[in-house]
Amino acid sequence: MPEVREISYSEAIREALTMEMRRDDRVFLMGEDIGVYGGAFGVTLGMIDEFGAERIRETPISEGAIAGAAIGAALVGMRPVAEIMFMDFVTIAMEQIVNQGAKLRYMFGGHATVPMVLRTPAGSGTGAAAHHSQSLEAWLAHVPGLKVVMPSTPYDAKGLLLSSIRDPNPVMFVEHKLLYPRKGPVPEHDYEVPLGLGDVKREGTDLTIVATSIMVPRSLEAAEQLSAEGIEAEVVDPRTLRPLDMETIEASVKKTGRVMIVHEAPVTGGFGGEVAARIAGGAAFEYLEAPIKRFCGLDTPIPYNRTLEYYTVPQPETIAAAARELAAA
Amino acid sequence: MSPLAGLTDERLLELLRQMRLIRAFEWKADQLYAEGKVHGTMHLSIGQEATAVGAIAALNPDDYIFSTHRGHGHCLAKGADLNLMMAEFRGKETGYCRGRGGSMHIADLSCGNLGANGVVGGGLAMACGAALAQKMQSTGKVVLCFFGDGASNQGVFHESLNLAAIWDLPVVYFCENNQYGMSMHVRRSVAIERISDRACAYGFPGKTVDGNDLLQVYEATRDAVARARAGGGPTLLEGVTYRWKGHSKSDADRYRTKEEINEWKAKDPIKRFEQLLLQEGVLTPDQAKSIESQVQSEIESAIEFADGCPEPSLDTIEEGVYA
Amino acid sequence: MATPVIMPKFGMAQEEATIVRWYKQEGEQVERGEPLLEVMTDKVNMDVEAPASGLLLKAKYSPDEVVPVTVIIGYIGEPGEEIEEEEPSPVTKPAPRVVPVPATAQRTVKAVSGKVRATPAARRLAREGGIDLSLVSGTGPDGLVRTEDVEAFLPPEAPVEGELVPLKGVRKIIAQRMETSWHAAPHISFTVTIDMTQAEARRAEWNEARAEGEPRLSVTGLLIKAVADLLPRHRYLNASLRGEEVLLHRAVNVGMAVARDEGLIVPVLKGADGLTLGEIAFQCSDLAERAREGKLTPDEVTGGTFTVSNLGMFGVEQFTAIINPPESAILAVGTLGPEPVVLSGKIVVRQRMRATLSVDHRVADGALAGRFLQDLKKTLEAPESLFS
Repeated sequence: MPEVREISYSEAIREALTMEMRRDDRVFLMGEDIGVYGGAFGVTLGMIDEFGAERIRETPISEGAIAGAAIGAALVGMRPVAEIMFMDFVTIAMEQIVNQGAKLRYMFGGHATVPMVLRTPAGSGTGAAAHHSQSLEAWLAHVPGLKVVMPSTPYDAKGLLLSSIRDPNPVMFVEHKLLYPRKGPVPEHDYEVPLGLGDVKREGTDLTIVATSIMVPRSLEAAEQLSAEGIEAEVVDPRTLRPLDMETIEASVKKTGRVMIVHEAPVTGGFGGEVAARIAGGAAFEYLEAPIKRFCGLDTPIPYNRTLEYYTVPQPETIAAAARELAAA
Repeated sequence: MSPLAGLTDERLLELLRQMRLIRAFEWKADQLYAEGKVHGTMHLSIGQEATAVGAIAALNPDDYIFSTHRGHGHCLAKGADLNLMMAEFRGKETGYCRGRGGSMHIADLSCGNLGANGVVGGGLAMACGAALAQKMQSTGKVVLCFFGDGASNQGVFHESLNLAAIWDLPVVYFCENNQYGMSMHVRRSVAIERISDRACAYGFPGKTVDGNDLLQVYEATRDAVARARAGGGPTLLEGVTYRWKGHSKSDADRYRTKEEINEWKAKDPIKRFEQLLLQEGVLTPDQAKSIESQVQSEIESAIEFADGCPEPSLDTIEEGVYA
Repeated sequence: MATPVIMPKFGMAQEEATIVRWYKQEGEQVERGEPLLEVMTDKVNMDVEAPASGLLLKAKYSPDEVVPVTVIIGYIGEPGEEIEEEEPSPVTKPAPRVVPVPATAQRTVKAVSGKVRATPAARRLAREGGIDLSLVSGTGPDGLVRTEDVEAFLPPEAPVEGELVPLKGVRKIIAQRMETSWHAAPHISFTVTIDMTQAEARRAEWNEARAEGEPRLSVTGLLIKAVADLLPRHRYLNASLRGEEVLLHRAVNVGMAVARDEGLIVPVLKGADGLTLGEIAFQCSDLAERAREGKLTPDEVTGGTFTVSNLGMFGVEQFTAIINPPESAILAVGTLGPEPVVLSGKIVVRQRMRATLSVDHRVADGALAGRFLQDLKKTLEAPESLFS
């Protein structure tokens, strides 16, 4: 079997955007500095050379207008992919996303569709502190009418982005800054990873870790540590938060009887609570050997100090420690 | 320019009919609400018929509009089906929005009405996107975005107008300045005399007209739409008008005087237009009466239609969220 | 001192860069701010400016080498200057230390009286295994019942030392019934010594007189006859406890314990009070034989109202038997043999045997038992009535 080439997460996203823009004239990008600059994280680097300034459309710093214009264009038949430079600034676009984008279809009795994608990098670890490090996916996953996707690998990023652009609903595509340079195998051809389908990234028998985004590779690292100690962790990556694949999660919990949910966002009100409630309220409940555990970000903004920043969110060794507690519970 | 803006008699009568329809519809809605037949609230545009009809008259049928929470008039002027509107008011399954939208969220995508909106300024940014799509696809269509004096102070107003300016978007922003943002008079909320003056901050033309003069509204909009269609970019229009009824059904009108209301009732746009048409011999008194009674009966039969429509079934309660 | 040139970080997520080419050679003069070398990060090429003016004393890495950010890649200084080769200190991740995960306040949940505290998995296992969770002792915190506790309740699967013979069939039934009987009925026992001299003589006569092919009358058979005659007058020893009531049986069905390899079995002589000695002899013989052959029917081992158990053939002098539920009494008899006895002042040899009666104290007390034994002794010691 031929080796699949390895490209980075950001290259995989660029490839998906490029492939889809070549395939479908209605697709265009909007965002700050996405042209010659190539995007704050270089994701759209070079694309303006192929597609031109009309379709790689740079905007002023106007998150409300960026999101709103994307919604308006989608409403009349285009397939815009808007970029919000840092997830922290999605707050400025919330009115458009939540009140307009998410609700038009429903309010208009199903007569409208808003096939737009909003891409944004979330997450901490770059020392950018409170206003450039947040993970706000729980806010978006809470809104009926939106779909929320969080890929953790280059393979998933490309496949999920192609699916997201092709989905007729507004999709919030949440990337992670630290994942951008990470490489992984990505087939060159057109393929889709379906929305709403989770993935077992590592099989195990002793406990289940449900992890999202950057916490997937960190949990995998933790799992390696644990394996050396005789604890085999199964790592489940939901990939899409809304709609959530409970089947994959429940099957894993039934198998191991112990589950820990790991995400970067602060634990209180985080999406982990939703997952925990669905496990506790569903078929997997009576397979639980121990209480459901959440190991997530602390309830603080992201600090500037590097050590504080490091320990504000789950890291491989702290994930492993939490897993050990779960295994013993 | 001819006093009748180059419009045919037929067209002029049609515009009068539209205004009459809106007026009658709004009064009826008011009455239905008082009778407990429509729930929630409603934002009546009685007194503002000229801005709705005049501006939309300048559009082609396949041009787009974005409306506001005070959008019954826009909806009707854009060619809405009276039956479906009434059914939507009553929350029926066969209403425009399957009963899910109600007064504030009526849309009719088939005739380019991209929806009323419950958020003040809710259509401003989307109008940029819709206009951008026309430009990118070279459709030649124009987007007309209604908003009020209050919305002109929203952050997104500035973001949207700026974006429309830098991209030369085929959008006409029409401010229906009825001088009140709920209870706050525009003098207190806007530092400048004319909202249309804000356009110069974004580098495109702005124009203020008498919002109760249908032909003035029509002409200004016509010019702006032509400019947009020709690739000349956006225009900010302002029609100064007045709403006779309170902001919503729960408005006790404590913030304005009866004198002021009566002063503006005397400037009734429909009466003025009717007078003009009678004067110019386009309309006869009999015709005027017949228009009034005709719209009345249309509305009555719409009510009957709506009465007969089914309520949404609880089985469908989760439908329509996702495509 | 020479100025170090470090590999700069251009982007937030950047960790390394590739040297593309040096614009200056070692020994060449450079000006501060002048582009010194070109590097590539994520396919973007950037120029690194010289941090100081002077000679490029050292260029540590060559084109195409990948260098982590903040590592020293060169030195600028005066000719001949010493280069203090510091150990490159690349940015390392903060030294991992074990941070105690803030323990959420543990509130020990006290069991609500009457409710079993068990994990969801333990509950499911118990339900599936038909196990009453209240019988399972929990080894978790505060007695929480866990999966392993429920599993411990099930038969162990590990091999044991010795031979494992499954308890099944009749043996299993006996085991269950004996356990139930022992737990349920408070046993009290009474022993009496019976002078069987007369009875034995008579029995011998009877056996002599019988016809060809007819079975012999055993001691057990004689005992059964005696017991069957007496029980109608001692009804509480021919009874069964039913909840709050005692069922005084009308029928007298006497069970006869038979020793087998597989264990004791008790076939029943139904309506023993109406059987002749000959019939009793026959049934005892027949039932015993078929018991040993394993050919008894279920009907023949049920319905008993009193049991006689004779272990005399093993030389057992005396023993206490466990009542056969739902009966309320059992007579255990030891060896019959010659014993010296004082009779009318003289030592004589008599045939004697000890009989021990166990009764269910819920149904009968010592007085009842004593009276029965008294009657039994009298009957057997003057056995005319038995043989008539």
